[in-house]
Amino acid sequence: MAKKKHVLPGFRTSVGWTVTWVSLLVLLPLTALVGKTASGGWEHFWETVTDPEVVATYRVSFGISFIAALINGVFGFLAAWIFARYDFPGRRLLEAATDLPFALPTAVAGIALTALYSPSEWLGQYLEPLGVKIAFAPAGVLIAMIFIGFPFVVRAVQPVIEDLSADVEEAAACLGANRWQTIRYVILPPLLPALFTGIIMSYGRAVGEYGSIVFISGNIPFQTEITPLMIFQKLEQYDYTGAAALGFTMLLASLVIVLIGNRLQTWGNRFRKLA
Amino acid sequence: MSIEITSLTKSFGAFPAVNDVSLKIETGEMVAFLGPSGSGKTTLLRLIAGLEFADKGEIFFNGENVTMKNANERKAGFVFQSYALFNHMTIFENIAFGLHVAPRAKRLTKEKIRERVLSLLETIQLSGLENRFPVQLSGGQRQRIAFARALAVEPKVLLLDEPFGALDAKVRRELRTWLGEFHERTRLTSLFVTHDQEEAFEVADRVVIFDKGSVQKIGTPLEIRSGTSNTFVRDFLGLDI
Repeated sequence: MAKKKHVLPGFRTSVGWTVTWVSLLVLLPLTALVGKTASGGWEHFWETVTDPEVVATYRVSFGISFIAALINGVFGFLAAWIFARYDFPGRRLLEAATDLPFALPTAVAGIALTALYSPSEWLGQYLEPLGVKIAFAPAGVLIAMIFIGFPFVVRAVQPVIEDLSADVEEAAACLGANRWQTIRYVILPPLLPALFTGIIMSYGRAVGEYGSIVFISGNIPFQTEITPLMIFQKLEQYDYTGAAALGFTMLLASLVIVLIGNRLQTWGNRFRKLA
Repeated sequence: MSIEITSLTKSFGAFPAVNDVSLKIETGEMVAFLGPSGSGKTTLLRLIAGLEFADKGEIFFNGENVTMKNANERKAGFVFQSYALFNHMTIFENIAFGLHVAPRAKRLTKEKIRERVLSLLETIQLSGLENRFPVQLSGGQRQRIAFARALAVEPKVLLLDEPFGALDAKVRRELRTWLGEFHERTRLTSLFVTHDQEEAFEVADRVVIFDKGSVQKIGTPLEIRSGTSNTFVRDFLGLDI
């Protein structure tokens, strides 16, 4: 059989490397996780993942993350729009600050937020008398999740906004569209796929977040405990199969999120796919 | 619609793109703006459309001063070299766009919009493509869609910015002939920018030659070719070779 020719050299080598690399880095640990989960037996697994305290953490980790991702979707989009379209003194500094949550150790973020919102601190001392409780309450978890997810939306959307050509907006104006109609019908639709990607990434990050949340949340059972914290507690109690069981549950959930995200992106890109 | 421009000036920074240009275009005329790149012809077209605003001077549509009006109030039919189609919309939605965004009181019914879009597709000889997306069409087809989209709102003037610039020679010639015939039939006041003199002289009733932001020569193709003493024009048209 004749060897199949490829235009790009090194096809086999590079595919081989990629497959090996992804297997070692991603698939192997995941297999280990599944194996560890299975070794605990079905009953132990079910008992662990349906424990009422654990179930309450799903609501926090998946529910509050979702709200955080939506809020990031709105304000991240606005920030991306402003960074892409307007130039003002301090824009570069502000853009750099946007990226900080990427680089900052999450524990630092956690301490910073706690130092700001604790009842005796900076902002907390004014909010507390008003009855607004942020630190050691679900609102604190939400703020931490918004904080760490924000740059994902900005970074996903901004390059796409910068790539939009001005001529379609001008064409819309010449056809009589006002500014709002131009945004609604001409500018927003091509940005949707990128916005979905940003929201999904920010959601995924918030679901798995640990470091920045555990300080500000106060880890109150049934209220502000997150699933990754449950995993950590199981590990501390040497309940490795229990930790693996929770890990496996989160893995499945993340997989579903990623798949939904992919579907949304395909949908948003449908007009490109036809070419 | 007649267009009158009086001492129009527009600078980008220190660079004067359009420098004290006055011009009168009569209703039903097809006028070509001809000149080398950077001569200000595109800027002048954009000033007329309301896509740029003049530093000095005024623009009148049928005697009405539109200098301070926005592009969406002037509603000039504008055709871009890059087509500027809405890639996320079907061909039908592209052509219908201007009709959909019209103020509620003036908006046509769905059936009327459909009727007009389909008849425009027939005019540009692309019937049956209404459910495709722009990326599925060739350059020449896309530019014809852009024409149809501009015509759908029944503009009083058609402004064409190097409309055939991105097309290959054969399609260019076909579309040029088609545009000439279309103008013969409708007598829609049209201005088009080009750097191709053959194109300008073949299609236009009058040609305006630009250099460095100023008008060098105005006249019918015959008048311009049959002699001028302007050295730039003689050189640009190659009359001395």
